Amino acid sequence: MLRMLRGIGKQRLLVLVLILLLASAVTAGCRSGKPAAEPAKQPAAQQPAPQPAAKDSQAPAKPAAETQPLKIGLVSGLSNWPAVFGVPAMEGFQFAADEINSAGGVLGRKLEMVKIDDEGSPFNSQQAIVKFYEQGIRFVMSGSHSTAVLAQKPKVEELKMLVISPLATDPAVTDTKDPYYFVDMVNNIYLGGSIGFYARKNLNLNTVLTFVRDDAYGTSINKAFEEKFVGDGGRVLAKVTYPTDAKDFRADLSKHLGAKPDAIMLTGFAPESGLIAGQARELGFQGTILATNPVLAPQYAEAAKAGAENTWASGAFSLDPNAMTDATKDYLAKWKAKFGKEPNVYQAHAYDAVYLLKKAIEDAKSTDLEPVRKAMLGIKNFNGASGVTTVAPDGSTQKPVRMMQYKDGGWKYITSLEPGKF
Amino acid sequence: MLVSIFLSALAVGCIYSLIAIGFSLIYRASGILDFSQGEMTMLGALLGWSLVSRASFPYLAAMAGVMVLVGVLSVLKQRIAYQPIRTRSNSPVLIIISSIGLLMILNQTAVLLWGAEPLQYPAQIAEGGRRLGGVWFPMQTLWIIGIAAVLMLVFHLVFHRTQFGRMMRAVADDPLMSRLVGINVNHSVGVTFLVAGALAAAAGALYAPIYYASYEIGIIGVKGFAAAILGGYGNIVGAMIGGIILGQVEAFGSTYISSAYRDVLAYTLLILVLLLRPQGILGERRRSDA
Repeated sequence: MLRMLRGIGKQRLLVLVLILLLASAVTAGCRSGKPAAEPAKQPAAQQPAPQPAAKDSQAPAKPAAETQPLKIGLVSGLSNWPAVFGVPAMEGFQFAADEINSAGGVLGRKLEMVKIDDEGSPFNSQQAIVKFYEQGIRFVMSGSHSTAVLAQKPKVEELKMLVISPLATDPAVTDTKDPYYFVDMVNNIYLGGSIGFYARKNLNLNTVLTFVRDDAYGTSINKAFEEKFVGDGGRVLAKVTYPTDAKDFRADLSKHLGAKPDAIMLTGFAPESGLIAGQARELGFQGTILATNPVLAPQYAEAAKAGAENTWASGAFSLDPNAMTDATKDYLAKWKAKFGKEPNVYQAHAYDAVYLLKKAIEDAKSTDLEPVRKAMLGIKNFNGASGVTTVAPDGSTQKPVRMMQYKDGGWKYITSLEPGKF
Repeated sequence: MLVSIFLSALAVGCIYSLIAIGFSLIYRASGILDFSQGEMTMLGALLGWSLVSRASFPYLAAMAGVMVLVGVLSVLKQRIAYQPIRTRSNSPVLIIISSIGLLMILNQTAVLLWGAEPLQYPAQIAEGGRRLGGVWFPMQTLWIIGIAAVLMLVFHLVFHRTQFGRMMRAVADDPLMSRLVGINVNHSVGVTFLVAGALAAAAGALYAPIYYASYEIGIIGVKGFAAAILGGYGNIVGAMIGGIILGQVEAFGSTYISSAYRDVLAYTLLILVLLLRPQGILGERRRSDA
């Protein structure tokens, strides 16, 4: 070893060491798999601490395990393209947790949030579940997108954990008889189907050019949309499947707009949907744009600019006074007081996800997994920030879908479609 | 339809050309394969966003500003990350490792400073368009082509018609002889990095208003690199042509085959050109024993 080092030469050795230090510094700066800063002043030991003798001999002290903070895993895409919804989801989780802790916690236990950024990678997302399990965490909030969640799901079921997602709306996530994975946003069958139904029945649109995002979300939205739209007599003139990192759609738009579709259907997320809408308008398309929940995020209108006008979307959440429940109004006031701006769909659903877990724990009167899981499945008409939630036997959610129109520079609530009515 | 596709592809191709010129310039002047050029484009996009959105600069002033800022950063990069290695060992492997390390540092720094979410420029470079003979000419596309063309023309004139450009070419062709005739080679290499950084920043400032500014757009450096190889690595005019061809292949390939294969088509073309003409379209074939 020493002979080898001597052979390299001092200068080269110095350069090699500098490069290794640089690589270490860069690796240490990377977020992948690393939990965010741990909350301060939390007991590190998992062993119960010795309890002081109770002053009142008729009120025995609670066992130590029941006073220790309850660790909740938070995994979300905080970098790369999923940050558009991953960051708001994380904000919603944390806001709810802080509020719950201020009110005394759950069953007397404060919530300790342990965060991991999965960077949108399904592999990282799955590994996050394993890391949480190894830390003794059994309850997780996931702000990951559908593709990443589908990678998490087998691990969650194998390790018997309970995960709630506020935004993974692919129906395959809750395609289970005995679920450990719950989603508190209406799934793509509702989101895609409702806009397809509304486009035919209310907007009287006959033909559509569809842009299908080439991932689990896009394909499931498109499938549900086509079932309703085509099933009701509509025609899809062309379907363009695009990679998730696509930014330039002018070639496809130029090719297909000549067929003069009544509408363009967008199945993707806010940034690229906004680019499609903006580029379509630039090329002279003046028809209707159809989309689903993600385009309600501000990035859609920022990317589309004036092209966002006359966009119709099926949304899971609305701040329109006609659509808000009292619980939503209360949440809106608290959020604005803290952040100085209105919450979006992901923040509201993430907030509700934590409160759903709280309710399940309180209904079960336990923090053990199985009683809490059964209690989750029994939740009916939970009046939360995002609306009234009933948990279905497969872990999905039944909620009204809001039909929204982008008009005069903002989203306007038009009507609600109840489950079963389309 | 064909004209629309051609125009939008030309705009994107011009952006690739600006990045490719930077790659070729740096390689020609110093022999360095600089993988962090894409991050210079990313910084141009993000700094441009900051100047336009936060400091309310007019668009063209913001572009000039980012060209200066990123140009200076590029010189610092050369002085700190590459020059010491060249002086001590001149190992190509170590310089490549250094450029990759720099790529990661700049990328993560951008996330820390601007966050991970896409950032939209508040307005387009130019609104509206003109319809001529049934074809829609968006003003934004025409502006991008125009600005990129002016930049490339100015660069070409400076590089070929000025004393300063002659000096840069001399250093690029023969650093030893240049040193013997009194040219400050280190100074010339520094200026080359300044120009390459400025052109990459301009590419970013042109790219972002069409799409968005984000830490992840540095990946466009790969396209710029491919364009430089296609045109003949080290050949400036070749870099311009390579970028334009790459843009057209991507656009027409997406239209007539599938947009899902956009990158596959572009890199397949690159490989085919290299198999048939390894020096690139305008590159000069070198003897393997030269």
